[in-house]
Amino acid sequence: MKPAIAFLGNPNTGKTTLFNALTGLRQQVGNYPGVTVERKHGQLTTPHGVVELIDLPGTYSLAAQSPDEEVVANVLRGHQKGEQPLSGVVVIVDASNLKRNLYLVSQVLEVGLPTIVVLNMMDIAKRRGVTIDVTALEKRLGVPVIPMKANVGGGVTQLNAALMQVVAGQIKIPKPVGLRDPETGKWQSGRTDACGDHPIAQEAVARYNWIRGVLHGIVFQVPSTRSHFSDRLDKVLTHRVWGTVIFVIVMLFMFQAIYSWAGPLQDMIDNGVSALGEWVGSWMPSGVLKDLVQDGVIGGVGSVLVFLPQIVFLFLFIAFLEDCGYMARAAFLMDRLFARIGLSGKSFIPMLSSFACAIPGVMATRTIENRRDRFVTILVSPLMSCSARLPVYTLLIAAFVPSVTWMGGLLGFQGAMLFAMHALGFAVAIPIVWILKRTVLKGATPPFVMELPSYKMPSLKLVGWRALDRAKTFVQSAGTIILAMSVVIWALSYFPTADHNYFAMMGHAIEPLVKPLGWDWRIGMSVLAAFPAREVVIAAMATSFNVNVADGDDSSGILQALQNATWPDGAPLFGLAVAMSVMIFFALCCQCGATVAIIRRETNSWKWAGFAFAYMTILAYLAAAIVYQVMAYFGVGI
Amino acid sequence: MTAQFVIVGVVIVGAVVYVSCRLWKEWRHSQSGCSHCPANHLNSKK
Repeated sequence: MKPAIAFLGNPNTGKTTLFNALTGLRQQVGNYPGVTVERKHGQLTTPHGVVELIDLPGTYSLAAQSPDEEVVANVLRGHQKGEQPLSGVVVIVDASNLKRNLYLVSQVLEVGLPTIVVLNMMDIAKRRGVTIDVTALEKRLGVPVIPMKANVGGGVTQLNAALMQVVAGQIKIPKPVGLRDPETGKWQSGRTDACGDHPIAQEAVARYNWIRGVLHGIVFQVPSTRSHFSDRLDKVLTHRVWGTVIFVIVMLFMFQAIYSWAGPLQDMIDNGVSALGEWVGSWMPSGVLKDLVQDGVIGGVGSVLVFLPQIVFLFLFIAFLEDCGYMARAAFLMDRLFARIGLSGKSFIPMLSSFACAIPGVMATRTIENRRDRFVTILVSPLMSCSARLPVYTLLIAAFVPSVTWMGGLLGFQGAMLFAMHALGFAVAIPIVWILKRTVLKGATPPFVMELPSYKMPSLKLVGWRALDRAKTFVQSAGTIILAMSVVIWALSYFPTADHNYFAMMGHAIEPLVKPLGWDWRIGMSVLAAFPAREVVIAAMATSFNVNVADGDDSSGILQALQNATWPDGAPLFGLAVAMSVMIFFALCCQCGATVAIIRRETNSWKWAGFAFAYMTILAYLAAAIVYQVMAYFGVGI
Repeated sequence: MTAQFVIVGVVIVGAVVYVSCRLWKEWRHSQSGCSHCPANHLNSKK
C-alpha cells in the first residue's frame, strides 16, 4: 500500500494550488471559501516510491459541523470508509493571518500524525508588513515549518524534501498541545465568566490562549496608518449601491464580450463544418448513408460545436473573476439579500458553481451544515443558467434581438439580453427559496461568517486550464450523447419517408400542448428531444428545420432557417415573443438527466429529485406561456 | 443500397443503445449510494 499524506487548511489558503503544483493535476481552484468540496487524490513520485496525496476540503476546525468537515475529521482519524490510514498531514496556513489559521493547527497536532506546517502566501504577508521568525515558530510548534509562495511555485522543493522525510519516517509525531486538564478533562481556558461552561466556548478560549503564547515575540507587524489597497477596494466593491452597480456593469461587459470576441472563432468553426459537409458530399454516393453522415452526424454535431468559443470565453471570464478574488465580493453582496429570504451567503457559492454546471453546484452544497438549507439550495441550484443553455440563448438572441451597441461596442443590447437570461434563474430562485423556507423546509438559518480573500493577480495558467477543461467536457458531450441523440433524431425524421416521418407524427401529436407557448411541432419536438441533455436542442432544431450542411448551411444556416420558418398558413413562426418563450422555458426547465440523478444522490431520495424536476418543468411551461401570451396580447415581437 | 441500409441500421441501433445505457447508468449510479459520496449516511443523521 502506498503511503498517504493529506493536505488540509482553512479555505483560501492556496491548498489546492499547492496540491496541483505537486501532483500536476489540474483542478478547479476558486477564490471563495468552500470551493473544494470533495477529497481529491493525486500521486507524487519520490526516491522512496510513490506517495498518495489527498486534497481535503477547506475547513476552519475539526469540529464536524458540515458534511465536508465530517469527512476531514474522519480521514485524519482514519475512520473514513475507503480511505487508508494516513502517514502524515500537511497543514497549509495563510502567513498573513496566522492567528486564525493556527486554530486548526492546534487541533491537527492532537491527532497524533507526523505533521508539516506550510506558511503559504508569504509574499502577501510581507506586503502587509508581517514578519515571521520561522525557526522560532518551528521550535514552538515542534513540527517542520516551510515558508512558501504556492502561486508562483516558491518553496515547493523544500516541501518535497519534507514529504520525503515523512515517507521515510524521519518526522516524529508532535506533542499534543495539552489544553485539557489531565484529571477533569475540561478545557484550560482560565475563564468561566464570559463564556460560561459551554465546552465549545471554553475550547475556543483555550486554543486562542495557546496561539497567543505561540506567536508572542515571533510575529511582528508594522503598524499601518493607511488602509490596505484591498480594504479600500472592498469599500467600493462591497458597497450596497456602488458594489451592485459595478457587478451589473462587469456582467454586462462579460456577456457582450462573449458575443463580440467569439464571433470570428465561431465563423472559423462554421466554415470548417461546412467544408467537411461539402467534402463528404462530393465523394459519397447518394443514398441513406450519405444523408446520415451529412445531416445526422456532421449537421447535428457541427451545429453544436460552433458554440464552443462562447463557452470558452464565458469560462475564461468566470475563472479570471474567481481567481482575482472578485467573485467572493459578489457572494458577499448576495449574503445581504439571502439573509432576508432565510438563507445564508453559504448558499450563494453552490449557486455560483451552478452557472457552470448544476452537478458541481449541487455537490457544493455539502459545505452547508443545516440540512434544510442544504436541500433548499439543492432544489434551486439547477435554476441557474448553466453553460449548456448558452448555445440556445446566443442562437435565439442573435436571430431575434437587434445588434445595438454602445460605448464603442463595450456594452450592447444582445449582451444585456444574455445577462438578463442568466439573471432570470437567480431572480426566480429568490421567491422559490422564500416559499420553501416557509413551507416544506421551514427552519432557522445559522449565521454565516464569510472571509474575503485578498485580491491577487490571477494565474493565467490556471485560468487557461479551467477554460480548456470546460471546452474538453463540451467537446466530449458533442462526441457522445449529442452525436447519439442526433442520429436518433435524424432517423426519426428520415423514416418511413422524409415527408411523412415519425418525428413529424410525434410532433403533430404534441403540438396542442406546446401551442399556448407559441411553438409549432418542430420547436416542441426539438425541446422534447433535449430533455436528456440541453445541448441536443440545437442539433434537433437543425434537423427539424431542414438545415442542410451539404449546401454550405451551418450555424448561420440554423439562424436563417429560424428567421424564415413559417406556420402552414405562411405566417412567420418565430419572432421575439416565441424566442423569449423558448429561452425562458430553457432557463427554468430541468432538462438534464444527470442533474436529476445527482439530486437523488445528494438528498438520498427520489422524492426530492422528482419534486425538483416537476416544479421546474411546470414553472418553465407556465412562465413561457405567460410571457408569450402577454407579448402576443400587446402585439410585441410577433 | 442494402449495405447502406445495414450500416445505417447498425448506427441507429448503436445510438439508441448508447443513449439508453447512459440514462440507465445515471439511474443506477443514483441508486447505488456511491461509495465516495457522503450524502447517504450524513442525510440520515440530521
